[in-house]
Amino acid sequence: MATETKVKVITAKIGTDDHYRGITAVTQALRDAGMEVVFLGTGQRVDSVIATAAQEDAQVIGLSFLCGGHLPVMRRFMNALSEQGLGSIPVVVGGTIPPQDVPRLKELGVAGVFIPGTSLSEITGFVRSIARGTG
Amino acid sequence: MSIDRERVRQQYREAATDTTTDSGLPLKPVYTAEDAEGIDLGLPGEFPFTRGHHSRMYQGKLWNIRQITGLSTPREYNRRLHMEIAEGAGALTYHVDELADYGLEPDQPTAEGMIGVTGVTSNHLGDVKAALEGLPLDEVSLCPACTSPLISQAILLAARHHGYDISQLRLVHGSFVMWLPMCYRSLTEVTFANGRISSLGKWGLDYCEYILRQLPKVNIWYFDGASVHEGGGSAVQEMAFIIACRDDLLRQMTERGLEPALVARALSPTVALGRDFFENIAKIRALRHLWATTLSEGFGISDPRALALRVHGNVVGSLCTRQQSQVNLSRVAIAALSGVLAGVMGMQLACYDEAFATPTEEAVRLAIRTQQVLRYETGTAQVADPLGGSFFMEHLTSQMEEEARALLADMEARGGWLALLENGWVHEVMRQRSWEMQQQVESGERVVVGVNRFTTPPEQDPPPPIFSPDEEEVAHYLQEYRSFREGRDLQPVRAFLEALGAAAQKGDHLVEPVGRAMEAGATFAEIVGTLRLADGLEYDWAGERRPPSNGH
Repeated sequence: MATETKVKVITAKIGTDDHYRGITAVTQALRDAGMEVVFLGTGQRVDSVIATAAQEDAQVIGLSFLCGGHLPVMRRFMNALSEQGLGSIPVVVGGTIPPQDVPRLKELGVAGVFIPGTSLSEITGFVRSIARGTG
Repeated sequence: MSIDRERVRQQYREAATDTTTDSGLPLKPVYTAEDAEGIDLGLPGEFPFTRGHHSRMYQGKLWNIRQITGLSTPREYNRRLHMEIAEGAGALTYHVDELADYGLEPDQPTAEGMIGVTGVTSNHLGDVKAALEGLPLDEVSLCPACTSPLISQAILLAARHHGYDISQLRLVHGSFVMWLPMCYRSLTEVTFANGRISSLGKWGLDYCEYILRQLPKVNIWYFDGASVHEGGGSAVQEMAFIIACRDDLLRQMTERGLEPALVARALSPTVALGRDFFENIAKIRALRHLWATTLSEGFGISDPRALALRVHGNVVGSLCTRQQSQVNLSRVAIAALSGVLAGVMGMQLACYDEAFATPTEEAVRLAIRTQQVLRYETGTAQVADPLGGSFFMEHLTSQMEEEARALLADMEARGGWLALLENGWVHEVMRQRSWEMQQQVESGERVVVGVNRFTTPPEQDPPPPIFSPDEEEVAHYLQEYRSFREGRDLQPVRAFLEALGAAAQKGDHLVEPVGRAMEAGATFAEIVGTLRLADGLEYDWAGERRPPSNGH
């Protein structure tokens, strides 16, 4: 058995979409699975999420979308993340993402995309497996 | 193929194990006369209105078929509305995208990918005029859904422009001012700023007052019970919130000198129709009783038009799963039947592709057809309150009312609706319950067919056709919008926006100054920004734009 290290995750919703039910459930599930999670809330901006991720030395970033806009927001987010030299932090996206957009998000470098109906244990398992600096 | 004998045996012997309602009320195997003792039922159309708001119910008027609609550009949306009317809808909604909700311009960075996605994009008065082209606004009932009165007020101006006497419009004003912070935590300034009602909130209340005084035919949809449900709240919480919010709105309006009965007469909430069939019905019956008795006890109202609650039922989107999406058609039809048996006065059905994107035209047609099957084929739409007198239904109805009354008293003791809305209590109790429910889905205790039982592999479960806004149409819209904005005379726009800002700072009535700015060509984002500035907030929600006087 490896020694227990607490995985640190940042969760947030970026932009105008306030459908928080999914992200708060995922946040709670990650905490219950023993991870340290900073939930920044809804209505966040790209820069503020990245700044917090740097400050908190996050090992995973989790973002959620319901109302569209996920492709342009994630394009800006992934670019800004690598510009800041933080491209090695894996990013996970969840929410009401139309199926045709899942491969597009992965092309942008998103590590995992979870659409409605995914179990929380699947998400927590995935987040643990990709956490930066563990594995 | 080998058969697992043990599994067959279990399938044969399986019994119902869930012995509580969706709100957690206990269920017995059978109910008798003892369970329904001492219940004063009355008749439909009579106090206490448990059995319905009208003596003849659907033999007097069937419920409105009102599908929630908003997509793409004003032109595309107008085409969808014409299709809905052609398919048999008598009532419409005007659901905007999030740009108008947050006061954003369609060409600022944050708006990218959002135009026309969750509603029709509407960014100035001209868009609303285009959206309503050719619709009979004095015959069809139209209900705008936007966080501020932007769309509702623009509809009045557009209707005047189209030649209507606005006192004859069948408008239902969607008023979000009294409840939005319950679910929009990043937009609480629609209601509050600096620890009191914000300028945006004051405009929302001013507009309600304006309607109540000037347009007595217009009703006000003042609270969204479906948002309680979709945020994870229980049926009992939904009932209590509907009443607590109404009471605070009544107080706000009576402080402005309006008669309580005149206000209550115009108010109507939407109510969630979720997965628990009997609880849906009992909730609406109990709510009618609670509505009438609390108005009578608390406000001394005796006008039956105020005491008779009319509700619009919303068969909620969260019923719909991404897995095996056609099954959603069955779920939605069953929930819609509960709405009919409860006597709703209007109904919108989630479409079977709801878990993927904005519904396609085909999915909307199926939802309308489902309502028509209920209306004409099932024999369920003739007799008022057909479950009235059922031992179980009466017991559940009075039990739910009792629970809701207890919660109402608790909320009152904690400071009442607006206080609990501002301090986040309302939001937090919903979030807690939503977490509990998610846990029950995870553990399998709460069965969702196709999700945690009776699943099929994803490769055998292809998604339905999915809607996305026509990108060329959106690009064309943006071009037109830009040339409108660049071609307008900025001098009067600035002057009317300044007047609006000054009125907000003085605490003046805001309906007229907003209307003048709209007519002068101010964009919706500029109007929202001006009211934000008046409260000392950043002009642009996303921090990307400056007021027009400082250049675009």
